[in-house]
Amino acid sequence: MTLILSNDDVEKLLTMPDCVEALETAYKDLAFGRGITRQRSDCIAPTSYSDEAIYGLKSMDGVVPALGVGAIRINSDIVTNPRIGNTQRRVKVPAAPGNRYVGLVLLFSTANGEPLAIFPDGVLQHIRVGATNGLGVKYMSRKDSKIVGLLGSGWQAETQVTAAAAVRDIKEVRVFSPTKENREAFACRMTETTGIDVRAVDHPEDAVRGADIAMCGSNSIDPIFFKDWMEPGMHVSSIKKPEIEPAAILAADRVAVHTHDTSPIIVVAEGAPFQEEAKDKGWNAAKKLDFSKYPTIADLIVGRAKGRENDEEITCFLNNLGLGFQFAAAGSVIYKRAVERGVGHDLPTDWFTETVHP
Amino acid sequence: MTWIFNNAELDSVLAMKDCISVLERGYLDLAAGLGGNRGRAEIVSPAGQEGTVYALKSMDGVHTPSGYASIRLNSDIIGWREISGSTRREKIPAAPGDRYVGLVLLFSTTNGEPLAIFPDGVVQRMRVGATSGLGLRHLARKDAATAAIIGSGWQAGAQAMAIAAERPIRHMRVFSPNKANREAFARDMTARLGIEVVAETSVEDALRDADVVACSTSALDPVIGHNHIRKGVHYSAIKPAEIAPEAINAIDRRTVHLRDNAPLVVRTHGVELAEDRKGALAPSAKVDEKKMAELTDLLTGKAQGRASDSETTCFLNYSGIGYQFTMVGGLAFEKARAAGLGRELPTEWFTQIEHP
Repeated sequence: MTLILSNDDVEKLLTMPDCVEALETAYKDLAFGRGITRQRSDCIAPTSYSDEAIYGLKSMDGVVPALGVGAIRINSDIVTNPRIGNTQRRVKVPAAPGNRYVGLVLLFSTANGEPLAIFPDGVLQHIRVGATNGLGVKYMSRKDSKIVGLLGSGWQAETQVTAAAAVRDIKEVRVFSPTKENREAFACRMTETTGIDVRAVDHPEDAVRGADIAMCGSNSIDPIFFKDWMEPGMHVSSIKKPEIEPAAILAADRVAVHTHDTSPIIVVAEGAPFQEEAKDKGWNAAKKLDFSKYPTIADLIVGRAKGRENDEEITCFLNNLGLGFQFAAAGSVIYKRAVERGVGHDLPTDWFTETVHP
Repeated sequence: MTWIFNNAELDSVLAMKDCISVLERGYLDLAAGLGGNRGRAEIVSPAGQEGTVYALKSMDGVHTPSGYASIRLNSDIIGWREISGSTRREKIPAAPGDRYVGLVLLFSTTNGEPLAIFPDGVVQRMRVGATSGLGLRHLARKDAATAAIIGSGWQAGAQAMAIAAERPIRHMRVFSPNKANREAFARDMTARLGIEVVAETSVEDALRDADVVACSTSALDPVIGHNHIRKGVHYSAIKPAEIAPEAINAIDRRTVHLRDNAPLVVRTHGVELAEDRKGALAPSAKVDEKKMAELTDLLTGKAQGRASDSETTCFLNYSGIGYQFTMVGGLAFEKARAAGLGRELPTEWFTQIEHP
C-alpha cells in the first residue's frame, strides 16, 4: 500500500522536538557520507496565470540509508515578486483549484524501491526549516539564551519560535514584520499556542536590540538584518540567503551554513520575469562570500567545528538552501508513525509501480 | 481532478508517429527558449542486499506553449550480471508484486495543479524511440528497407516502432543473447508493425543487408565493433557502451542527442558501480561528442543530415532529458483523457492551503 497523508496528519505525527532529533541524527550520516542529498533544482518558465508571475517546478531529493528511506520533494509554484515594506518579496500564489498551493513529498523504500507515502509538503516544510535553525541555535547560541528577536511573521516564522523553544529556555519573543496586522496577529496566536510571551514591535531594531538570538524568518529577497544591529554574544540566523547583509556575516566571529551549495540549479525559459537572479538579490545576494570556507551544521553536530567558544562571540547560522535529505529523515518518522497509528488513505501500490522495465 | 493512468492505457493511446511529432515541436521550441530542461540527477546509496544499490533518479522539464511541466522519478534497485561474457546493468523489480518503480508527475504551468500521475514505462520507451526516430529521419537513407535491431528488451520495441514510422521498412531482423526473448520480440513486433520481424542467432546475421541498425541493449560492453561498419548504413545507440569508440570514429557523419548532458551523480561514501570499472557510464574519452552536431542542429537545419547514399551515419541517443517526458507525457495525458481512460483522485490530496 502507498499511504496518502494530509498536512493535518503530518502535524499530528511530527512535533518540533521530534524533527530536531531526527535531523540531528541524520546529519551525522550526512557528515560521514553515509547519507546523501542532491542539490535543489528550479525549472522556471512564463505562466499564463499572469505576465508578472512565473511558474517554477522545484525539486530536491535525498536518501538516508540507515532509515531505509529516500525522498523527493516537489513544488509546482506560481510565484510573484511584489514590493512590501522596503524589500522585494517572493510570494507564492495559491493558484491551483480551490486556491491551493502545490508541494508534494514522495517517500520511497531503499530496500525494494516501492513508494511508501505521498503527502503535501506544507507542514513538514516549515517544521524542517525551523528544526534546522533550531540546530543552529542549539550549537551556536549561548546556553542561557532567553530572548528571541524575530523578523518575519509568516508561516516560516512560527516554526522559528517553536524550534528555538525546543532547544533553549525561551522566555520572550519580539516580532517585527512590515504589516502591523500580521505581526500583531502572529504575536497573539503564538503567545497562545506556545505559552511564551510573544510581543509585536514597530521597528526591526526593537525586535533584535538586546536579543540573545536574532532570527530572520521572512520571504524577502533583499537584506532585512544589518551589521549595526549585532551585539556581543548574539546568535543570528536566516532561512534565506539574502536576509542577512554580507557585511554582518563578515562581522560575525563564527559562521556556519546549512550546505555548501550556494544556489539551486536554475534553468529559466525565455520570457519568464525571474527576479531572483537580479544583481545582489535572491540567489545573487552575498555572492562575494566564500561559503565553502564555513563549516556546515553537520560539521558542528559531529564536532568537526565548534559553534561557539565563549559567551561574547557573535555567531551566525545561514540556513542558505534546503536539502531533500531533510524530507527523507523527517519523512521516515512521519511514515513509521502513520503506519503504527493507521493514519492516511491507502492506495494500491500497483498504481505507482509497473511490470515493464522503465 | 488528478488523473492516474496505467501503462496499458497509455500504450493504447500513444502512436509512435504522434510521439515523434510532439518531440520535434518540443526540440524546436526548446531551441527557441520556449521551454526549460533540468538535467538528470541520480543519487546512489546501498540497498538492502549485497551487490545491489538503490538509486533515486529524477529529471524535469517545462514547455511554455503547452503549459505542461513534468518530473520523472525512478526509485530503482540496481544489480549487475554477466551474460554471454558481457556485463549487464539490470534494474531489479523488487517492489511488491515484482514490480519496478518509475513515475511521471505532470503539472499545469497555468495554475501549478497536478494534472496526472502515471508509471513512466510506456512514455519512457516511446520518447527514447521517438528521439532515435527523429535522428533517423535526418540521417538514414530515404529508401532504407532493411533494419537490424540489436537487443530485444522493452526499449528495443520502441526503436523498431520508430524505424517503421520513419522509413518504408520491409525486413527487420533482431538479435539478442537470449533465444526465447528474441523470438518473443520477433513475434510481438511482427504483429504490432505488420512487418516480418525475424530472430537471428548472431549480431552478424542480424546486420546482414541492414540499411539501419539500432542498438538497444543493457550491455556495458560494445555490441557493434569497427568491423561491423558498412557503407550507407545508419547506426544508432541508446547507451555509450553499445558502439565501440573505434567504430564511432570510423563513421562519416556523427550526431549526438545532446552534446553536454552529463548527469549529476551523488553517492554515499564507498558505493561502487560495475560501470566504474568498465568506464561505461561516461562516454568514452576516445569519442569527442563535443564536436558532433546534436539533434536540435539537425531539426533547425544548422547541421546537415545525410549528404549521400554511401555515407555512414550514426545517432548517439544517450541519456534522456526530463523535457521529453513533458512533451510525450502531455500528449499521453490529452490522448488518454480524450479516450475516457484513467482513474481520478481528488486534487486536494496533492494540493494544500498551507503555504509551502
